[in-house]
Amino acid sequence: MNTNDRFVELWTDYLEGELSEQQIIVLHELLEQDSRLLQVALKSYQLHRMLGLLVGPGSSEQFIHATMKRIPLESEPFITKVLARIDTVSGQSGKKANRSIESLGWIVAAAASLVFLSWFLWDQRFASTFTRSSPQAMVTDSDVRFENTARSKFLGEFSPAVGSAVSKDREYVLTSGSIQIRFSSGAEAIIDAPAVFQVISSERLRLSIGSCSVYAPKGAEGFIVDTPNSKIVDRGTRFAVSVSETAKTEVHVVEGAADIYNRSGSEPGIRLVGKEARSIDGERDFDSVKTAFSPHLFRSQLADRVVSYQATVASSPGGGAEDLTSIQVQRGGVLCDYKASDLIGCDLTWFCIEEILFDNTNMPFRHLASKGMELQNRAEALSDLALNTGAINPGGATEPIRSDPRVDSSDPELPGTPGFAIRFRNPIMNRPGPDIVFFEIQDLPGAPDGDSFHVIPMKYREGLKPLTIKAYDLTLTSPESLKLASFYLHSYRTAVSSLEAFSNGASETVAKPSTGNNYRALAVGIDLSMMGYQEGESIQELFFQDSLDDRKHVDPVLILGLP
Amino acid sequence: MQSEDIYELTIQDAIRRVQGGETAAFEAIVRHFERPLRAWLAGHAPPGIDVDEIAQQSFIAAYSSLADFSAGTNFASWLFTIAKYQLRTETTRLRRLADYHSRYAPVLLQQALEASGQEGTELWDTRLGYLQECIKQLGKDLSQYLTWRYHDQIPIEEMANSTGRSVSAVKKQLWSLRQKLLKCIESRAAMSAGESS
Repeated sequence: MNTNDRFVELWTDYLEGELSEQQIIVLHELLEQDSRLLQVALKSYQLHRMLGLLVGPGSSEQFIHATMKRIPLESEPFITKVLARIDTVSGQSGKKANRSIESLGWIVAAAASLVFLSWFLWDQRFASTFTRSSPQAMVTDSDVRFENTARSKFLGEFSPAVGSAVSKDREYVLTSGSIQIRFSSGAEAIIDAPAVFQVISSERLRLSIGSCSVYAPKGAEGFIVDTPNSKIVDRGTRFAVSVSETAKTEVHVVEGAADIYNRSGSEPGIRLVGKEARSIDGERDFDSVKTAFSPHLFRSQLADRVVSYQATVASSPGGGAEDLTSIQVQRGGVLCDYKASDLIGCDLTWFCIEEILFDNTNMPFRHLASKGMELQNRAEALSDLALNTGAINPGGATEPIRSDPRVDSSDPELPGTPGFAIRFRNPIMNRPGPDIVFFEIQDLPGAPDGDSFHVIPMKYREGLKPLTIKAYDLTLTSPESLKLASFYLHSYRTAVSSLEAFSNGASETVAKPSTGNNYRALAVGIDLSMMGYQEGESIQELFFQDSLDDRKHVDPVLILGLP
Repeated sequence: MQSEDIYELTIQDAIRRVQGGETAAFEAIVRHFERPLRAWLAGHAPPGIDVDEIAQQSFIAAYSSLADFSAGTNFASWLFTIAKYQLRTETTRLRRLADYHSRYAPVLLQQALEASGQEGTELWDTRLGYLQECIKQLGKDLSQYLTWRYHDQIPIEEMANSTGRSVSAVKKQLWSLRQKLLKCIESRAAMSAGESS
């Protein structure tokens, strides 16, 4: 029997699952000796799989049906289920705040899945609001850290805390947002979703899919980015790399120089200097061609956003964040730190809902949250720096109002516009990046990205438009969103249709102070430019509406202007 | 939602609805991407991996992460990125099994499959379409072997008994049938390339 016949026999038996271990070794040897046979085997195997799809018993309809059966019936989001599991874990331990490294080890050993590990890390992250243990306390390379994150979300795990170590030799799947990684060599990489990446060492990053921008300052030369078909070696530069789903790699050098090699580095490299770009196709054949340079592919920083905030810790049992003390915001690419006392507060000038609203449990909506039993001046609910005091569950509209909101309740025939209005105590000037910081409280499990809302000019003019905020900078899953101190919730006996009704209406306290334990304070920056205001233009009033995208309404607790 | 409405939904509409809490709308997404995703996985999954299991896991992971999907992003790329990750994770897991290579795969075949992982996702859907056409061209006697083998999953010995042929002859028949289909696919691909150039 010649080699070909032997291969046909073995290969057919292999596809039928009839090969012994010894025969598999023989088949392996045949494939190793003849690359042509390997190609025949590869094509034949792929055909075999496709025949299974087309002729096999599992039709498309069956597949669709089976897949839909595995999708949870409820429309609750992923995070809800994850957080529900957290409660279970917490309840079992009974000592959430003091969970030790030993228990970490026990749980990790008991948990086989990465998702479960993520739940635990989440739990640890919030075990103590102000003493955050490293969520990646396993095998890590402390030389490489998550320098910054912007609305980042990962598949199967929560977004890492800023400053936490990147696990080496582990693939991260970034599904949304961006992250910045700092290497001990001094190099920095910004990676944008969707991306699959892996940190190999303090001088090496593997990008399987996605795009990243690398900055290697003096001293960090030699930093390497591996892609499926090439190796890019930095020679002191700024460059952008993108890898498509078909492994096509593009390298755009903004300044300095970079060398591109094939994956094994077996062939001489190609040097790219400033404003040059090349595209590399295919995996086996290192086929590199010049392509048009696109400077916009390189990102020198993450998007402007609210980065973090700090607050006092309540002395009441359970602790938790209470009064804002400082905030860090990236504005125009610059990180700015503000003391809370330097920020510009606002007064509530209007609060209106169309009718009494009821929640899922048929309880009337609460409209006031207060850290004490009562709030002396309810119009200051959004400016007293307390993160657990606010004017919550305002009225709203699916589409934001596109004419001047009516903030007058004197004529019963002309109802006011549902929503709320504020007036800043000093004018807010439109500068690069966020101009206003909006805090809301969100319970566990709630809307992971925060309750969406519309921001509307009090006085429309040509060029102005409403802005709808759909996702917060600091979300329910952000390590920077702090657990709140306890607070009281108040419901009103009648529909709140004016500031007068909000400030002086009869209310009932319906929740106990322990409420705060399940809440976080989320934050988002509002850029007045996005509403059409000119740079340097000042405003003093704004109108807000819930976007009515779900049954939950936005729960603002603090709105502050940046000086 | 009425089931017939699902056919009318565009992918963007379906994504919006699922993000709004309408789980049933996800069927439109599964329906649209089921074939290309399974075809791509069929072309790249190494032995020992259940293509449909990975495809389902990918859809479930996409559903669970759909809140993170940003409008304007290419959904197909996003979904295939998830699928590639799922496949890689499962491949890595299998590779760690001590007896994987002896039980499932000649290592060279696995490497060749992984190396072919960079081909376009549409390519496999197209190939699946060619294969479908090629099967239609087979005579009844030949397509019967495919039905027995892939649909009814009848052992070769039984095929041999019912046709009065030897086991060896049936194996050769299957081999030549696969080769015929491969040639048919390649000739259609070449024809298509010629038409488009």
